[in-house]
Amino acid sequence: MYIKALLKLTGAILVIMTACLFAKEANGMMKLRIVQITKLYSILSQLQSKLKYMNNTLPECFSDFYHNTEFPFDSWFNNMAERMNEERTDDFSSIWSGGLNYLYDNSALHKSDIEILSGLKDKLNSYDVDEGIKAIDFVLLQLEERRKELITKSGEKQKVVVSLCLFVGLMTVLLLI
Amino acid sequence: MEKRQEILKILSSTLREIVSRMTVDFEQLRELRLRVNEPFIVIVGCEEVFVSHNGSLVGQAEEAYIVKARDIKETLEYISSFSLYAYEDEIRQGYITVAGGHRVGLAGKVILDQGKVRSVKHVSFINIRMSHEIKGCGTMLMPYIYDEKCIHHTLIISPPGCGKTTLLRDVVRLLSDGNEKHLGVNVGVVDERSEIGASYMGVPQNDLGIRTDVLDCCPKALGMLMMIRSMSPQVIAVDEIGKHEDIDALAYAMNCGCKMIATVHGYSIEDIKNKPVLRKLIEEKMFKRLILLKGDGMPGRISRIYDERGSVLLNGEED
Repeated sequence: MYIKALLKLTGAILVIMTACLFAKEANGMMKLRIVQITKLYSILSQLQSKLKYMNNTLPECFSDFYHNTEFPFDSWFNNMAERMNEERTDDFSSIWSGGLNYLYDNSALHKSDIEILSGLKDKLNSYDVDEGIKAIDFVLLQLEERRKELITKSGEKQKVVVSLCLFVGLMTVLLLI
Repeated sequence: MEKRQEILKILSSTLREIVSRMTVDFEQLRELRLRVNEPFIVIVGCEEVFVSHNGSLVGQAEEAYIVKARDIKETLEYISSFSLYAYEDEIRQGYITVAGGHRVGLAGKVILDQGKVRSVKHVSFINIRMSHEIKGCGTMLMPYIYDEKCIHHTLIISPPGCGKTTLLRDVVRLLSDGNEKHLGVNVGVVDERSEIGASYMGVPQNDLGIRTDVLDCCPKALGMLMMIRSMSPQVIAVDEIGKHEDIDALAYAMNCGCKMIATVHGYSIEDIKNKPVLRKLIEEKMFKRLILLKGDGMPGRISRIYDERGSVLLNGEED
């Protein structure tokens, strides 16, 4: 009887712990998305400065970001810089779009975040540097809005996720008992 | 990198396919002309030919490959390393120098800002001019430029396209490297249009000798003064002088003890004398050697060499 109760208790604790871990994981992904949007914002601000003040070419900028950023941004930029330097078969918009697909597959960013960046594919390499700078400005504005929105919503969402996970855990425990 | 690779690297994928199939000596290739919706033309030696889809050279425009707007756009992207904005100044001048020293001329819609060219947009015409170095073309000139102990101020005169820049480039190399009789000297090249050194990212793609410093894309008058102040050259070389400020800077450089090697557009000494700005060069005997090139389309062929008094030292027309 005593052992049976102990086993039930252990099982219940395990189920609830799993639910908590699941909630933590889900909240972690949400936080990671905010962190990556913040990093993206910082990278694009640097890119803007490089275009504006240093007149660097895009392959130079991307190689530089490869050395000074972390995964997944480093490999994103490295892939694009390599494609630009190899025997070319693609134009810039294809290279940029390919790079965004890679970023989507390897980051916590959502499709809607990536779509903000796709607006740069026709602007970054234009004749006029101001056009590129303005396009980055617009992207930065959207990213900042997205970040604020996520921060505001994430508090509520995190509570909902934790509550939901705990509820599901408790219900599972009750059903099993 | 050989010329073939340098050119293929900057062409759109379709044009690259076509050019890679061309059975032509790239040393003889002088220009590739791309015009939207017009036949693809190349100039080999002195002959203009059309290029077909399969890369063969044809005589009829109807058989030629028709250049698409996409070809121009893609080629421009490769020429500018996907960063047209980084070449804004060059585009404003109308050309970009690419690796290997080849010059890519651009034409399209010019954007003006207060009467000055701000940029060229919607580029629809590209002319790729192959860089050609003719090493040794200045050798026969050297005995006339060198005195026993010094170098003479030298002016090379020729009509456009007769090789005065090619000749100047080789003279710079020969002066800089020196020879058994004469030690090499420090030469400062003020390369306003990147034609002498054909610098790409600040590095001359043409051989200008071991003692040569290059101020790339710098206005001549300003560059000559900068050179004197910063690099203490014994010889300064400039291409295509023609403005008042160029002449003033040239006189200043001469007074500072620098020897000048310069080129100027002209058909004869009389022609130079008739130009108000350039007249001073001849009348005041600023140059000790005046080298007139033949206008027969063959680059670097000398017609006559005069001294400052107008005496003929060499008559190439008698050859």
